[in-house]
Amino acid sequence: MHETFETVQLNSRKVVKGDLRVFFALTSLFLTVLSQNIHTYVLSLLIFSVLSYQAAGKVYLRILRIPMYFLLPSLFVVLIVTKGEVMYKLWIFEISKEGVNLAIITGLRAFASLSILLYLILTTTIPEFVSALRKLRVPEFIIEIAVLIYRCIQILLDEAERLNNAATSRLGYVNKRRFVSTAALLAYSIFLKSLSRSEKMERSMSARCYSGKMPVRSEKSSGWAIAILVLIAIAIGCLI
Amino acid sequence: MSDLMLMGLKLGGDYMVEAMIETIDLWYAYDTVDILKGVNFKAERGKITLLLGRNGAGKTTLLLHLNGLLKPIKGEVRIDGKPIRYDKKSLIEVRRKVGFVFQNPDDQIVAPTVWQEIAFGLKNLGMDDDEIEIKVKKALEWVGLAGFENKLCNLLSGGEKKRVSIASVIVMDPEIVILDEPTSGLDGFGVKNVVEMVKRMKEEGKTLIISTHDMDFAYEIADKFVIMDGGKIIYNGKTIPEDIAERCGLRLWRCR
Repeated sequence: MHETFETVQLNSRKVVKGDLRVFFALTSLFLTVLSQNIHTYVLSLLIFSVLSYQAAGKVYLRILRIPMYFLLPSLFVVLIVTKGEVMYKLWIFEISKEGVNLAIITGLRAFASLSILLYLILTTTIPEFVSALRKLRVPEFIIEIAVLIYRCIQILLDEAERLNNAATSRLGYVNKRRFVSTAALLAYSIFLKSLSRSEKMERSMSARCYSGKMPVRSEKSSGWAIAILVLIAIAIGCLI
Repeated sequence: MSDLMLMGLKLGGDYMVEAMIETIDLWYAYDTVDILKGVNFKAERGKITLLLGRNGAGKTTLLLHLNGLLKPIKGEVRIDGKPIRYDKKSLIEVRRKVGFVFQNPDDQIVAPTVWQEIAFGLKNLGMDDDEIEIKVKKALEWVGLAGFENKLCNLLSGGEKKRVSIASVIVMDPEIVILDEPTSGLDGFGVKNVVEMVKRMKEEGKTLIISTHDMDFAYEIADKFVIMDGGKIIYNGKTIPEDIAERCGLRLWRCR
């Protein structure tokens, strides 16, 4: 079976557990994004890269690669469009000292924020995230909708995988023309299946007295020492 | 003390052999096609009633009526002699009494994690979180899935999903449990598991109504057979006559 985010999240090693993990990551993200200090970015990047690597191993690096394809060209644009004292000139591009500074700060801030977000994504399943939201007193209907949407996405992906296997086994993607035609058929079939599935889901919920309440379970929080130490370190980084 | 009683799912002590759930001249149609044509079905308290018949005979449609999921165009469904009503409050009472396990667990599972799925019905019945926690744990032990609380449902095997769907109904302590083709898509171990669970439910005094095409499974557990064909009940008895079995496409060759 191929590896999905869900399997990574379930199998990841967690040093901070329960709802605390979500609050810890969100507070760190908040501090990092608001900080104007480069030390905070470096500190956050280092700490959360270590935590993420410890939690999910090489998966962290594999996923970090994806936003890099967007981030690096953006940083290059920042580098060349920022006006200031010209340090280097290449054809029509002028690289200024201010441009280099801004690109470094923007890059570090972006990577630091990404590492925190990836830590959250790699260690926290959606139900765990929703459970933490409930602690924050997010309205019940939002939690209900979030859980139902997540379940519908799971169902939709299962259906898509089944249909995709059926299409692949009968050479549905043998050439570009067939690819387009199969993809269109697949989209249509998934739409129909999702309608039929939604009816069945509604029936299943009614059969168990659905009253608009979706149970959410909280795991006991642990790892307070690590969370507090990291937050203090980031806060000190902000103040330097 | 039985497992279900330990779970807090104790049953009343007034069980007599009598019709617990029955339908009187039940008619239902999808669009203009009549699916049920005057069905008179009866399931006795504490017994296992097997509903058999070819595909499209109307078995699932009949079962959906027993839980109030479908409303007949004519006739009525009675539980303990009282006709069911279709207002919201009455339906909650019906569904508290009659649990429904769907044929395909993927159609039944509405929550992302095993714990949430099993707690779903209890939450809707208004139980508090501590009580839910205890009942879910015991229901998972009952179906042999202890420790599965935080697993995601979409990552379970077919047999595990089936057990989760049974646990999610059993945990609500219904007096009547309906299982729609519970062995479809299961391997030998899965079928054996379902047989054991069905027998345990019967021992606990539950009334079971099961539709199936699996005749080995049917002979293993049945107290009574009801055979449907063309939207009608054509046979009701303790054995299956060969001529009727052949006429209705029931696979009897290994059971003879």
